[in-house]
Amino acid sequence: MVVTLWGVVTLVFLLGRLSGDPVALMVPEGTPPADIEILRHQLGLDSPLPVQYADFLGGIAHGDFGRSILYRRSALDVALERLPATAELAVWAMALAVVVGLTVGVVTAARPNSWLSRLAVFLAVSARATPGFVFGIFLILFLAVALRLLPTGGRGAPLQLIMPVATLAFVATPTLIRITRAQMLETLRQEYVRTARAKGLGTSAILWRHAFKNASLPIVTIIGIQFGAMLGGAAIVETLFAWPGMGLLAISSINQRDYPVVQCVLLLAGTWFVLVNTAVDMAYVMLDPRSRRA
Amino acid sequence: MTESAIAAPRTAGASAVVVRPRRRRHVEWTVWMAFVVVLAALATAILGDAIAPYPYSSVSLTQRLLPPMILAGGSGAHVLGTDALGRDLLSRLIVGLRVSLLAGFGGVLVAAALGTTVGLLSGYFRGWVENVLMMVADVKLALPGILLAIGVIAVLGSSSGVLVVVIGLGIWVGFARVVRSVVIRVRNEEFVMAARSIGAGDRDIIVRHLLPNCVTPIIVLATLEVPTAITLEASLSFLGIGIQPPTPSLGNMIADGRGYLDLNPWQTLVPALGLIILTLSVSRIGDWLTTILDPASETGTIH
Repeated sequence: MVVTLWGVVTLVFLLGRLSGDPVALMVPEGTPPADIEILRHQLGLDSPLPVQYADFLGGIAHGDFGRSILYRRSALDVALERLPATAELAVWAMALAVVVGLTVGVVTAARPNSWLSRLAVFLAVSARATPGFVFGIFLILFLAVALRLLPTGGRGAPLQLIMPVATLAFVATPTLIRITRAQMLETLRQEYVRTARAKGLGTSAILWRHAFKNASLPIVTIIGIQFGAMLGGAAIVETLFAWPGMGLLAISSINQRDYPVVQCVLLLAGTWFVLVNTAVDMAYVMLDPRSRRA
Repeated sequence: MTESAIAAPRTAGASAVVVRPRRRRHVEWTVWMAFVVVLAALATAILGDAIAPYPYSSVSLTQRLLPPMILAGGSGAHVLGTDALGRDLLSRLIVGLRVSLLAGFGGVLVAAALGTTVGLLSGYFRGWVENVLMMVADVKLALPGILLAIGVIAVLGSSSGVLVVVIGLGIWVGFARVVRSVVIRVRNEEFVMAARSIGAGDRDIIVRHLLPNCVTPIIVLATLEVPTAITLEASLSFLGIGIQPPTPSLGNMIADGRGYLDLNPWQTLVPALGLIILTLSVSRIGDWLTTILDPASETGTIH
């Protein structure tokens, strides 16, 4: 976990030095060379790369993630202020994706040949090929423009939450359906399921109490990966629905040439992923007693 | 950590495949359709300007926001209608298709090259080489493709070259994992030992003996990843940090249309439907290839 975090920090550091001259990212065109030189010195960019790297690591260790050029204050604060909005979106979207994904996955595995299952699988395959932002635009077109049911964007009212959450969930759900279904199909072939059926247990008891529990471990892993990677999808959803979260902040910071803020968002996203997946590893230990011995 | 995370669903998926007795293969009509769509898209993209009825950036203020020909108000002069600047949507779709396919196939090529190299090296040498390379892959997984792209584009700006590389960087990990697992499986087989016993060096063994064994899974995975790459390009262009106007791409065409959803939804729907049909067709071919070439493994695509 620590190693991955260190890797993320290093990657972000290297990204910032890709162009060879980070200052060029920060100043508007036409800035006098003397001013550029001063800024370069202030930021320590005239020292050798290893020294810069040490400073960068040292700064992060002290909670110093650089200053936003646009807002003139700590870039970390600027990014963290947007975290709750993104987290709200991600948590609701993940909850929706898990409920829909697991239900559809289990039900289609229980009756793989019914027309409803076939329809669901077909829809899931089609959904996998539809980019999230296109689905979001369809939602806007039907729910906001044609039917005038929902506001097209912004944050505040509960109604404004519906389309962004649905769009973000839309991206995660097909994979969850696929994995859940595959796991359940596999589990339902096991001997103990036949035993359970033979001793007269009802279908739903077999499905949810016996088979689903055993199928759940890989599903938990996928949920972790999806939830950890959700900030990527959030960048698109937030731009589409003018949702004032970290993703929208990153995009607008690119246009404002506010690189320290972009850098902070990347670091927070990497940390988010690592923390979520560490939590998943711990959940594993709780869910599966066998992994405690290993 | 992520190591086991990725491995689990893969093996599970593999054993979930039902082995059916081999009979003469029946190719579903959806696969034929998919091939027709993809070949038509490729042909259109290659011919490009030659078949586009208008130059893609030719503006006409009297012909703005026309719906497609078959709808009321449409005209035969603009088969798919026009956008807010009166530019012909069919012409822009044709050129945008080329951009999307270039980014899609180019990005996958970069990803396959990078991922295969990493997979071959880590699977063959094991030890610290493997540990370091797989750690890099774990770090990549912690930054989703879009965010990585945002980071790179924030520094280097956006150009088609940067875009192709960034898309490749976004999806290479899958190739590395698949190639590595194949190499680990075959590296101790007799033909490798035979090659070594007659004095073949590491490079010979990797390139002449191990790489050929990876070709099938690489092709399958590449086909499955093309839609991902196309989607990534479209997403970045939609965000305004991919292909820059006036060059059309499916993504920036959709972004352009957003402001006119109530006046002329077709400006958005035309590129959006084009994008869906394209990605759906390529992924249909990918799924089909998976079942005929690689029935034993589910080449999971997780980013």
